[in-house]
Amino acid sequence: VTRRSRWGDVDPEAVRALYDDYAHHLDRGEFDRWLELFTDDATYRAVARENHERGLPLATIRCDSRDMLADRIDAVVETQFYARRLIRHFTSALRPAGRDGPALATTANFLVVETLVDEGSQVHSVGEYHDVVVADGDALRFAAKVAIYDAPLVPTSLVVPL
Amino acid sequence: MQTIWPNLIVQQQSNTLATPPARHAGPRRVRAPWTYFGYTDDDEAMHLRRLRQANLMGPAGLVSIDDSEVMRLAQIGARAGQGRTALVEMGGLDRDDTDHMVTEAAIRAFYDHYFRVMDLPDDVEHAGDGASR
Repeated sequence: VTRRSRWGDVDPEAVRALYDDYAHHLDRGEFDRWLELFTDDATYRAVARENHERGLPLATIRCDSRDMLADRIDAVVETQFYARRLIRHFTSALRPAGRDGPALATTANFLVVETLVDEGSQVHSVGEYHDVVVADGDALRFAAKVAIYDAPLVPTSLVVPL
Repeated sequence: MQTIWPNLIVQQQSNTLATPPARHAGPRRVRAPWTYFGYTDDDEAMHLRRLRQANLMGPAGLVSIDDSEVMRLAQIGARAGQGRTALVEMGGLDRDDTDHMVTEAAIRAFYDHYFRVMDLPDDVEHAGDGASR
């Protein structure tokens, strides 16, 4: 019998709630609350599977701290021009992938559906998260998030993080 | 940004180096495969700097998102007329130098030269000075 990696002392429902909050706040544009889901020194990357599999370090979005992530959000909200859109994140197959001390590695699938003005909803990207979740104060937060998207082509642009 | 005839673009944005060529993929689609590069004798600090500044470019680029989005909207506008051919005449039809960038004279001049070098038939004449295609 193969046993799944253990959740250990981490409550799986709390981890699922973290992922649900992540999608909820991103999709509603509640970026301040979304940023609160990361630790101060969290890293975030959105990377093409093509690069990930070859071990190439280039990421489409690379933030080496929550402040860098906040800068990117500031650009999305304040300075960038892009067509109005609705985004929905769907997360599934959340699993514990290992422990490193108090940190819990997790994997999950993601699907992002994008709806542009006057167009039907379309799949923007689909892929897999490779994350690290830690207890930070009274909450679980992401210490690292890597969103590996499967298709090498991004439809026009990636505005809202995966 | 340096363009090298006929289709090589080499770009430097801060310390990020890339070739962002546009490849036509039919009448409604352009593919832009970005290739980033550095130098083998870059030290770790420069390597990391280039990777971080890559945030400026590409499909999520803090600088380039606007470009992709505007081009997409222009594309939608151009194909709006069903069964008709759309021609975008930014800056008119000539190929003269201007003291501003709101013109596609450089693109018209490019294709004029391209057709001549490739010995392609130039049988589509438009109004104005006869700019081709």
